[in-house]
Order: sequence, then C-alpha cells, then structure tokens
Amino acid sequence: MVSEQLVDLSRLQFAATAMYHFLFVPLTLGMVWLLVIMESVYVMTGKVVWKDMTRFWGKLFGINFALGVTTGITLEFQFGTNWAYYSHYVGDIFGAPLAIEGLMAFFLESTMIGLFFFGWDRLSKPQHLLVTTLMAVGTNLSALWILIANGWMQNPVGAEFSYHTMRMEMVDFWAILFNPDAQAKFVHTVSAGYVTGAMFVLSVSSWYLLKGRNTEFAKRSFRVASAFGLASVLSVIVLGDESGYMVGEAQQTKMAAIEAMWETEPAPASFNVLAWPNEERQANDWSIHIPWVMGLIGTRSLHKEIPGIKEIKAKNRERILSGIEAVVALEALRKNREDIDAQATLRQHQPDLGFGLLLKKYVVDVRQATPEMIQQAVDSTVPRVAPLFWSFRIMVALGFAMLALFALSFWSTLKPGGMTRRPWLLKWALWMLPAPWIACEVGWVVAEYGRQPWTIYGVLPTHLSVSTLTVETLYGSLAGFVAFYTVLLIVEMVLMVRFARQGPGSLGTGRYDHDAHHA
Amino acid sequence: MSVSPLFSQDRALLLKLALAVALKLIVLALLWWLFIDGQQVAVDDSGMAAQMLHPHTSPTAPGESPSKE
Repeated sequence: MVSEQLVDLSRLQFAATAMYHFLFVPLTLGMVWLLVIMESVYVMTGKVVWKDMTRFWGKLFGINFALGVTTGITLEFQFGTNWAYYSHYVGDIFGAPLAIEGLMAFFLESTMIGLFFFGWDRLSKPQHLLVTTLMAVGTNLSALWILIANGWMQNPVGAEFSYHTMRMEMVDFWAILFNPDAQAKFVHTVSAGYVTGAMFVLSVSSWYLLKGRNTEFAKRSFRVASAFGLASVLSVIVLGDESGYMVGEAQQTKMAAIEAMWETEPAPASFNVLAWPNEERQANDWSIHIPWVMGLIGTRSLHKEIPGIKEIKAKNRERILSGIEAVVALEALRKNREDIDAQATLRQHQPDLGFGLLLKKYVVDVRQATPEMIQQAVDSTVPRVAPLFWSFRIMVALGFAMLALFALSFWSTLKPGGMTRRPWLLKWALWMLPAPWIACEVGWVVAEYGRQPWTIYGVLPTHLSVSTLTVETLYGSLAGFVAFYTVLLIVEMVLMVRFARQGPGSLGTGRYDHDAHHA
Repeated sequence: MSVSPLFSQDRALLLKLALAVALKLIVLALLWWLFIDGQQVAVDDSGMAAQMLHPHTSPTAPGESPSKE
C-alpha cells in the first residue's frame, strides 16, 4: 500500500536534502566568477592586492566547496532509493543529463578547483587565470545539466510514453536540451547564484569597512561586488520575468496559484501585489492589485487571457475523464499487447493518461471512480495557493531590496570616499547577507511545490513515483540526514566566520591588519 | 619555478576540510548501510505497471522483486 505518510516522508527527505544542498550551490556559482574578475585584474595590472583578493576570497570559496561537495550526490542517490518508480519511468531521459552533470562536476570542476588551490606557484599567471576560468565554466555547466533535467520535470518535451517498457522514452534529445523552461530556469538560477556570491563579498567587505580594517582591500572587494551584484540582480529580475512567462505557457496551474487568481479575468489581467487567499471560499478575502500587470508579465500581450484556478479545474476535470479511457486502455494492453482497439484508444487519450492516474490514489479500478473521487482528483490538480503566493512574494521582495542595495552601493563607489561616508549603507549590506539564500530557497519552493501533485508535470503523479519503502526506514534516514547535515552546516558557519574575521591577514603575507604572521 | 611552503594556517584549514570530507563520506556510507542497502526496490516494466495500475493491491515489498503480471 502506498501510504500518504510514505509519500510525504519521501518528499520531505528530498526537500530537506535539496534545500540544504542549495545553501552551498549559489555561493559556489557566484563567487567563482568574482574570482575570475579579481584574478583577471591581477593578470592585467600586476598589482599584488588583486592576487591577495583572489586568494583570500578563494579560500572562503574553498571552504564552501569542501563542505558542500557530496551533499548533491545524496539527491541523485535518492532518485534510485526513494523514487525507484519515478527513476524507471524517466530514466531514459533523466540518465543522460545527470551522467553529463556528474562528469562535469567531477572531472572539469573538481580538477580545476585542485589546480586553483595548488597551482599558484606552479603555473604562470595566464595559465592560472585559465584554470580559474575553466573552474567557473565547469561549475556553471554542471548546473546547466541539472537544470535541464529539472526543466524537463516542469515541461516534459521530446519524450513519449511506451506501454511496452512502461516508461517515457526520449524521441528528441535537442528538444530536451533546448527546452525553453530549462533554459529560462538555468539563466535565472545561475544569476541568483551570482547575486549570492556578490552579496557575500559585499557584506563581509562592509564589515571590514565598518571596523576600519584592511580598508583598501575591502574597498576594492566592495567595488567589484557591487558592480557584479548590480548586473546580476538585474539579470535575475529580467530573467525571472522570462521564467514567469515560460511558467505561464507550460504550467498555467502554477501561475494561477502563484497569483491567487481564482477567476479568469478579462485580458490583460491585474497583478495581486498582496492578497489573503482563502482556499475554502476559492477566493481572496482581500487584495491589493495593479491593473494590467499580470497580463503583460504572463502573456506579453494585451489581449490574451490568463486562466484562473476555477477554469483550470474545469479543464482538468475533462482531462481526468479522458484519462480514465487512457488508463483502461493501458490496462487492456498490459494483458494483451496486440489489442488494436486498446492501442487506438490509448493513442487518442494518451496526453491525459497522467490525469487518469491521479484517480489511482482513491480507487484501483478507475471505471468505478465516484463523482466525489473525481472531484478530489480535480481539486488535487492545483497545489495549495497560500504557500506559493507568499513564497513568490518573499522572493520578489528580496530581489528588489537587493537591487536597491546593489544600486546604492555601486553609486557610492563612484565618488572618492563614498563607501566609508555612509555607515548606514555598510550596515544595510551586512544585515542583507542572508537575503539571497532566503530568496533562493523560497524560489525552489515555488518551482517544486508549485509542480504538485506531479513529479513530471501532467504525466506522472507524485504518489505513483515513490519507492515502496517502510515508513520506519524513511524516519531513520531522514533523522540521520538532518542531524548530520546540521552538524556540517555548523562546521561551515564556524570556519567561514573564523576566516572572514581574520580577513586577508590569514594569507600571512604581512601586508594586512591582524596578519597571522604578526600574531 | 620555486614552490613556496604552504602557510601553516592553510595547512590546518586543509586538514580540517579533508577531515570534513572524509567524515561526510563515512557518515553517508553508514546511513546507506543502515537504512537503504537492505531496502532495494527493483523495478522493471511489470513492477511499474503494478505500481501504476494496481497501486493499492500489488505494491512491490522492500527487498522483493517486482510482481509479475
């Protein structure tokens, strides 16, 4: 029996490990390009302070990488351990990007990271810069392949279901590679990583400036971080808008839930800045909205409508009824694969097969589904609105707060003494340190929780994807992961804080305050 | 090209990071051995069909081969 508890625990375990993993990933993605910028200036100018900057921030990058490495591996293992049926169903498509990601991460990224740390005295300046650049490329490429796999879960293109093998089979690799959802997701996610890296350097540099330590080193770091952060946060917002447009095209349910749009409004739809979604009444208790904005973001047009939740549910009811035909035909084909009528019926109703499978949560023989069961299945096609609505708004609010911070920080660097004259700006930068991490985590909540009740949108329901493990096993492994990862996070924080407090003095060059050589 | 000695603080940090990575691998292997190794769920087309079409009646039990139709 696939119990609700089993499904919930498997989801919780995957969510916990993914969210933990993504505490490390964005900092790696972002800081690596800052290292490329700093080292490029060193190679071009020959000024040793830029080498020290690369080495010092590189050391913090290294701590983050060492503590974060392998935390993503557990996710890939979980596909096999906790999601065995999902893995069978999508292995033909998922296997290729995950394997390429593994090669990118382990061979290109890890090799270059080794050369980065141990090659300072063994490589020429241009050679070392090339290593740093390849490290950045490898890091970002490994993210690309993971996001191609994830993009396919949101918008499953280039694949067809086979009743012989009972799985999705790849028919167009290029469609999967150039899936618009995956491309938009990749650029949005890596840009969010760049913002995280920039915020980290900006915050720590601000702390040095507030303390009056290593001011020339900190000013240069602050300048680079503010410029890179401003460009990155603008990219996140613009590409996030593009990502939203893609979501609107491929996953109307997610879009409607994010916007708490219960009814289909005349085009162009208004945007709910704030609202209080009421699931029971299927309406908002109150809302503050701006006319036209949602229609423009979601459709890039003044004339296209964005369907509301009620309209989507009505369409999904039709798809569930059509899906029943597909499931019945599939059952017949599993008994007799030569059944011509069943083949024709499955071909006709195959796009709705996943919707028919939603009923399997309530009844074995879908032909026996009662109107109440069908209604339950219809209601389950839309995720709970409030968590999505608020997660999205927290992400967007933090994005704009960071835009303001980076813009002001960059502006302050344009005048001599501009940074040190504004302690309030430095304090603001320091206190904003957690902002990109919070934004990234709630962004993933929007992406993944918003896809429910599917593991593959419109194709495979979550409750049919999960391995038939025991609940006790899942409680045990979940507790183990949470306890162990919490310890690792504490170790990361302790090491990061210790070396950040020491500052560039920890390099032992004798050129900085609190130099460990002098201590 | 001369090779400068690794600064002692870097050496200490490297030791800690190596320890952290080793500890991670050991604990993850331990978790695998304790909770996962004995719970393998083999899936083939028949197992997938059983899970998809008869999820309430014929799930594959942990450690068993998938049921045949």
